[in-house]
Amino acid sequence: MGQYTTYIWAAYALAALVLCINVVLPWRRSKTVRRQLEEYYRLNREPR
Amino acid sequence: MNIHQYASPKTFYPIAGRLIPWFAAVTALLLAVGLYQGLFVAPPDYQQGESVRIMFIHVPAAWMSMFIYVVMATAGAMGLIWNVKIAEVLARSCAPIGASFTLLALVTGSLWGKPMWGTWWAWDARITSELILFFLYVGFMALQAAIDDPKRAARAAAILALVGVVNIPIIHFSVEWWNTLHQPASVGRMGKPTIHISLLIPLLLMAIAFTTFFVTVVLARMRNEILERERHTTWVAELITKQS
Repeated sequence: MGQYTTYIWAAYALAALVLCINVVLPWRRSKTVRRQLEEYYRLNREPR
Repeated sequence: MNIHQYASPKTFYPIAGRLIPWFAAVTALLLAVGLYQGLFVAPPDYQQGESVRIMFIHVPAAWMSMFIYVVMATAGAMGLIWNVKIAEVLARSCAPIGASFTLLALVTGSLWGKPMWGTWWAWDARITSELILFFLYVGFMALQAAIDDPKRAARAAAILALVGVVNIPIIHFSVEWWNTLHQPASVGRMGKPTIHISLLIPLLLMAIAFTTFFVTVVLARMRNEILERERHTTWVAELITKQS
């Protein structure tokens, strides 16, 4: 890729990072939400 | 089943869960083929040389930044007018993904601009309007975060999203309305695209891959949002207690 190698790979690496962040954040959030809800239902035994 | 039933969080939640693996698989396949085509098959451009490969990331990211904003504003309007709960969830879930694609478009544009235009940044109409789009996404998220009541937060943010929609045609037509460093549209123009087929194929593959990626992650975000919003309902209580 000659003289443009750094620019090209930097762009693709950044894209990979953005895609990974968009996958990891909801996945981690899902675990946190489920943990919080388990705690919530333990404390409030009677949902509506 | 009536179409309106799909708008019920209780019905939507399991459907989204079943759709995610399919969209993820299609995304992985399209990304693999698109990246191979873009990095190894597509020829260098006769003017820009190898740097044209940045286009396969930059252009789909820019398209997605606008597409997601339109989806977000439409969902916001549906929530505002018809009080559709799932539309509010969709609008909220779109914002961080749209912001990340906008940032990707801005930074990869900068990485492409330096070798081609000799500068990292210019206050060019296209770049400036895209930066405004990024601020609109950030404003939308900040507004949602600043209001505790999810209903009021959704309404306030929807109004901001609808006002901001005016920026979308400005971004699209900026290259025709003003003298900018950006070239005029070469794919979305009326008639035949001016871009060569060898470059068009990887470009479209990456654009479709980014679209299916967006669907995958927005569904995942919507499922989290639904669980949080519906925590007072029996079905979420049963779902969580059954799984724990």
